[in-house]
Amino acid sequence: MNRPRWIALIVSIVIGIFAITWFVVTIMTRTAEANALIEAEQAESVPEEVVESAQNQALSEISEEATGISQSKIDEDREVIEEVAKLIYSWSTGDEYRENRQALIDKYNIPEDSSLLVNFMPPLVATTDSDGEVVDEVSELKLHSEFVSLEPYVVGITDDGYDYYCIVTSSSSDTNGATAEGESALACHVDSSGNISDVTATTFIG
Amino acid sequence: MASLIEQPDFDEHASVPRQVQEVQELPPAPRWFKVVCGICWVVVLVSIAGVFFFTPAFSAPSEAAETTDEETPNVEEVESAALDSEVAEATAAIQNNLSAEDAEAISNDAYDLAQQIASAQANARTNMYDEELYDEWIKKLQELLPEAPNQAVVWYTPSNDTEFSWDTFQPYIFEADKVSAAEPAVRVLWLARLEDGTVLSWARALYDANSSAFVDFERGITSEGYALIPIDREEFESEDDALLSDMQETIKGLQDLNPVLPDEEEVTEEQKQDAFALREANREKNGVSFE
Repeated sequence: MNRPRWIALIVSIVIGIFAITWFVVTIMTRTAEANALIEAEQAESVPEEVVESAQNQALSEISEEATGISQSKIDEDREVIEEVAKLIYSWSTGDEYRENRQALIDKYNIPEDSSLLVNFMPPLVATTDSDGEVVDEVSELKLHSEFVSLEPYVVGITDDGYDYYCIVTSSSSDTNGATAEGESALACHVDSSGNISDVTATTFIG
Repeated sequence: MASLIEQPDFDEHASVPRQVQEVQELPPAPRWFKVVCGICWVVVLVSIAGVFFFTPAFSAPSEAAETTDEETPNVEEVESAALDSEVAEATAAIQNNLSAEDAEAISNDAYDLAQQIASAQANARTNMYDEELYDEWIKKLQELLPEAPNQAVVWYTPSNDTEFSWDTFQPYIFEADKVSAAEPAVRVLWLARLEDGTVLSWARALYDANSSAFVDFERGITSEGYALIPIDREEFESEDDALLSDMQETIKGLQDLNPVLPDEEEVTEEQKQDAFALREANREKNGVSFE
């Protein structure tokens, strides 16, 4: 066989191999893409909180239409109430307790002589121990309190906002590591501008 | 002369150069050569056709031309669509099971029943010392609370001269998981309040629209409310004993609520004086006397 025929044969074989490779690569790519799409459709699931949030949104719209109580205002107010509740219930050192208490006075204009700051969250008294160190009860007993959640109920509607009675769940622990969750109440008024006032809190007994 | 002139290398009688003549005169290709080349080119054609077939842009050029890049599905978009679909299904379950009209009717029914319960609570408490009337109102409570018979009792019993009312509020907090499961349910709150708004006791429950009854009760007494609960003085020899028992109950309640409190069974003198003063102040403020 002469030279031109050898060249023609080699060229044909090379092109043939190239074509087969192209075809196989194309099929593999398409299969991988198809599998990825199928997996994406099947394997992914929405995080529970996203579904819950969407459901709550749908329910809020229905509830607002049915009762006339503005769910969007409640949602906004709830954020403010939770901020205040976290200051009241979440602390783990004496310094944090004092800072939170001061923030309630400075940021939320809660009077220092209010029932909340006199009875429920009284000033922390520091004492000097036998070693001459200044200690307070929170730090000494390693008391720890943490806000967990609250459920707000509208108990009054005025021209400038809503009155709330909230059942608050909080957890607490001490130096021995004993922890427990308990409920208490937080009452307040939130005006149309989102300003919170008349904050009171009380423990439940029994 | 003519022999000196270099003759061109072709047959003067032929119409094409010699080299071309040689090519044209190649012997026929062997059969295996034709088969191999044929197979190669068939493979090439089949592969190209296959690639075109499996590539949407080539297989349906008119559709591909109409499809923008944004419309071409990719993994991220499919993932997003799948997530959207799951969220849409979850919200559709809510919307299908509860219309605004249904929600209004359920809320109103729950409110009406809650008010009847509040009224029965007030009457039962007022008539605690009239056995016949008391039984009548307890029976009424049992009828109003068919799914929670253990709640058919007087929820809060302060001293007789404490004037308070059980108030009910328009229910609006629907439970998402119940509604999506086609069991519409709305939360209701009752508050026992003094005239000045001080909350003494509370109760909350879920109104189940399917059974038209309250379930899942929770109740509590605030520290202000607890201070107004009288103790049975006949059990104690002296006023001090009665107060001490009251304080021990208070401390036990606080310890149940908050384990960080010191686990002391004995009440210290200082604690006793403080608690006594606070309790008396509360009673004085609310005009309550046990004399």
